[in-house]
Amino acid sequence: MDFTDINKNLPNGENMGGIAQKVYFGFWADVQSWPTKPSSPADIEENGVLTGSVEMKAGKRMFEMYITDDTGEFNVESVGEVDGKSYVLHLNLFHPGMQKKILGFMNAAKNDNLFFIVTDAEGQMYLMGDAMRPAVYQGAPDGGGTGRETAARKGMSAEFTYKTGNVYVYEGTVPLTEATSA
Amino acid sequence: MWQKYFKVVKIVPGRVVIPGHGTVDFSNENLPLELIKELYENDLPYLDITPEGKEVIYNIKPPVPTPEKKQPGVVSTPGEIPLKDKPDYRISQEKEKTFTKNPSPVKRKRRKSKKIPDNNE
Repeated sequence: MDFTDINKNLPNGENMGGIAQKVYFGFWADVQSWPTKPSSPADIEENGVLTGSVEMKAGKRMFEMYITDDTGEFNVESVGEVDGKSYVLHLNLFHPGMQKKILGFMNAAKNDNLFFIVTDAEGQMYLMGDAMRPAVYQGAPDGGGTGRETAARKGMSAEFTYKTGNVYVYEGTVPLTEATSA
Repeated sequence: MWQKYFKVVKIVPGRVVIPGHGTVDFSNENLPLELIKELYENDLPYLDITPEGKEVIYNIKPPVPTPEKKQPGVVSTPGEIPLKDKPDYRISQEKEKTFTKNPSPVKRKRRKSKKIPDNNE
């Protein structure tokens, strides 16, 4: 792989922060196959993208979750010592309300292995999870509950993390319907 | 309309988030054919083409059964019935073989029975 020039590249001048108001998720154990990481990329651009899609086992599917605008964040944290650097990807989100569905999700997710697909403001997607490692629940940094004042925002926040050697763009599809055997 | 030419595979027809196209609901039979064609040509793994789609969209006709080829080395002489047009006698020959007492192709010579001299001669 050769290096190439990295110029300012903001198509249509767009470079908005934050993430979309939906994240996609599923159980890590329900994944049939994962997209592949670049093995012998021709250039640095190819070295930053996954090939293929997450494919679910027959009868299983991915789901979407609504999050309140400006509460979601996808954060890339660099960790490790010299010659041992890697990343921890963080997803923070807030779902409004304390309905049965979100509580049931939190109950199931807190000790289980998941994966997430996060979309940024330009529509570029990132996958949290691979064949080796899932995304896991870390806690609720922005809290959860009813709030104190009547003007407070009731709901549940959550943080999920995924440890990875590299960060990639996900260019696959996200089917929100059950996979079949054929 | 589009479902005449393409079919959804690997998933139950429903919503799929596709980069560059947003969410496409494949349970909707009124999706534009051009969109489906574009997704199929971009190798979306959840679309396959029907035989009718091959013919109408890509003008690929279903294969016509080819006539039987002559066996190499077998040349028919003028006036001879071409090999492919010759009636197939194999079945009837087989049947005959089944009911022949002596299936051996070598014809046995009939023994000449000794003629008993006629005393009247």
